Amino acid sequence: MFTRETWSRRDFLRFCAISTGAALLGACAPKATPAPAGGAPAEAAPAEGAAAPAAGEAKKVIIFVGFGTGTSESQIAEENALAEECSTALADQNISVEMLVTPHEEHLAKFSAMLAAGDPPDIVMPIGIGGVAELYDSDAWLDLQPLIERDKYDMSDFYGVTQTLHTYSKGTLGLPMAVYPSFIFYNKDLFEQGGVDEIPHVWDDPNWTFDKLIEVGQQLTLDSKGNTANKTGFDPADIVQWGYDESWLDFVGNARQFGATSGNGISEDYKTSLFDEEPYIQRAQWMSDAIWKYYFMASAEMAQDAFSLAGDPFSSGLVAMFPCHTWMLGQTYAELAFNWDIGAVPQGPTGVVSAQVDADTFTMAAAGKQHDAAWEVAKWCCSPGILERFALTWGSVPARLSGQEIFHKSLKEKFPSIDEKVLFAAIDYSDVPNHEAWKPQPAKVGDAISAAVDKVFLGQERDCAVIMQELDKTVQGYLDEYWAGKS
Amino acid sequence: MERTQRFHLTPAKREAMWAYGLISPWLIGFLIFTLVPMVTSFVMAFMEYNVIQPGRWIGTENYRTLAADPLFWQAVKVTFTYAAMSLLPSLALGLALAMLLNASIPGLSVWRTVYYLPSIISGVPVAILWEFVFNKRFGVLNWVLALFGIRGPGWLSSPQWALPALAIMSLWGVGGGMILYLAGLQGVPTPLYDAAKVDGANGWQRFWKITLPMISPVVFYNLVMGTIGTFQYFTNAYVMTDGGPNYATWFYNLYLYRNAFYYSKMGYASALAWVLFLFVLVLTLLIFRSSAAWVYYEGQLKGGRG
Repeated sequence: MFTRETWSRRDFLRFCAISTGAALLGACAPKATPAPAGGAPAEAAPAEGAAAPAAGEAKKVIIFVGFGTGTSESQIAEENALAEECSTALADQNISVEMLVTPHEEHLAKFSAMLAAGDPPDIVMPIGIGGVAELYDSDAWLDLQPLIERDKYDMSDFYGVTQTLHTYSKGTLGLPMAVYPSFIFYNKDLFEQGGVDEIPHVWDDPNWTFDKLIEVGQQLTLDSKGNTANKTGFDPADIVQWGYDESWLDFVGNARQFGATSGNGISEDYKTSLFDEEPYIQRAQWMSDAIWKYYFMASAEMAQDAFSLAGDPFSSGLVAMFPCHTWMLGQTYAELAFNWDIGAVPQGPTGVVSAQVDADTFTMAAAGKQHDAAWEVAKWCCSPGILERFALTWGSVPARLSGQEIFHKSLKEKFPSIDEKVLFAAIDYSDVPNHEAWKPQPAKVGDAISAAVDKVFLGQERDCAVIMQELDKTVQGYLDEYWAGKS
Repeated sequence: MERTQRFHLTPAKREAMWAYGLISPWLIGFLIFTLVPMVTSFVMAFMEYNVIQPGRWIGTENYRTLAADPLFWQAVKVTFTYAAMSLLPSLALGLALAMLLNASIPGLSVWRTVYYLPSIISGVPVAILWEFVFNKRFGVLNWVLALFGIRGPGWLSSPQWALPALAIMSLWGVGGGMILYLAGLQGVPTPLYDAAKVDGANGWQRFWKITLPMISPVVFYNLVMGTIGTFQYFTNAYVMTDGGPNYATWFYNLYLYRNAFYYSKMGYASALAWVLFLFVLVLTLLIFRSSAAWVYYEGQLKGGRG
């Protein structure tokens, strides 16, 4: 074009306008396609519609990994192998599967960008209750109920509790895949050295209470001179071994043990914060006292000092009891340099026994363009024999009752000495409604809760009524802001 | 009837068109990746938008919310405090190092490389490295303090020490400024020092009356860039403290990021971004305004006395 020496001014301006416009249009081409509102059922969604590939055409189902576990190197290798098997199994339907693994830190940004660009992945897996909650309000997930009913999908083999956890007012957003019950990991060597009886393996033991936990915790807490925390002369500034650490559990979920009726600190109509209610205050006070009055739990500063290099408190070998989920079984606990086992969670002051549970599922993007193909892939992933392999990859109990045997066998191979009955029984004490369940502005409320927890662990305020009332005020502000935006 | 005015391109216009053609990749990139997002974010700041659902126009609501948002003010406080703690020490240390490395000492090139190297290693690996430096029990910093009988704090777990810790860490990157100071120092004519020595000026007087004024444009440049960089502080706080403990390192950009990518509040995040832009703009203008009083350019006449 530059060889032409005679141009009209209008030609030149037109050229500039067209090239700029073309560049801008090119950049903005994939126009945002809003997801159907209300978690639209499969029939209403663009399933296999005009935008979908025609029958017989090859369909590539993208599985997005990154909302939860599943992103470590070994997990990716196993997931890719399963994806390949799935592609082979569904070859007659012309369906292939590809895993799209994203670092967890980027999952929301990437997934939202794909949705906004009108190119959502078909399936998200694994995704926990908290992950579903992140985009629940945006109607990002498809209600699977119509597909379940259409295919008369048999749900009887899943743990009842896991079905409840994935059922929302907007429908069934996932089939149960993996359950992560929690229980107390305990260091048998430290119990033996301290001459303390090991904790019960039976759930609902009336003698195993939070008061008893304080007693045992103190007996197993030592300063550098070997004094236990219940003895005079004990130096709380020089602790070298702690009796207990619950810093890896959800602070709000623990309140159920003290009689809280809500799983996540919010009323059933999602309009009122409940953090100033007694169960929340008392449970927070118990934790604060464990750190600052009875000294059997490490403060934030002590924890960073003592546990940060080990990866988690229990692995450090400096903590006698550590309530946590089955994820730890997928990690390096097979190589711990001490003897350990698992026991039951104590009974709360009102007689409630509650152990936090996490649960993974898959979700299907409501804005996806090939729901039927994605559903076939999801069904394959949840089928007996396959679901167990996914669950073991993620360090969880398979959500199928029939899968217990496979899990049991794998557990015995890896951890021959632990009492797996404790683990399976824990599922019956799951916190339903769940601590991760949706609430308005979940991430923002989560940050406010984290700040309150920081205050407890830092000892900035020892009176937890003050902390919880402040939290209640903040969260109520967020709830009011949310509902004001809806009106 | 349309009248088309034909014109003959002069060599200058042809050259200009060639120039535009050749820089068009950058221009198009600027339009698509900078200008369009800027304009979009400006518009988005007046909307409620979560990326997934269509945006809703809410006027100035985001800006009004922001004024009453305690976390916004905490972010402003933390960022300004950090700027006060890190900016001047970084500038001073960079200059001090440059002066040391401007002297004739053995192995000069090696020393210059050694001090410059950290500034080219940045991001997440450095943050992880410093987490170990700050570790209460195993960290190098507390080990050094212990040699003087001082029991170091849990730097990153303490609300009092987390921000100072990040300010200390900011000194890691002084090598970048140091190189510029070094270039400036080497441009100072030596006859000025010779004349000052003849007049009996001591080392401090030579530094204060000759070196500093002569390199003041470099100081000015480093100050402007440092100010902008400080207000964009993000990675280390994100990796090492995530805003905690208890909001002690709740940097402005961290809060902006959380709004955009955790809370899915793109509109509010855009409003935060434009307020940040205003902060940086005002500060930069103030620095520019003050420069007339302390920045000297060679050959420039000051107040008719130069």
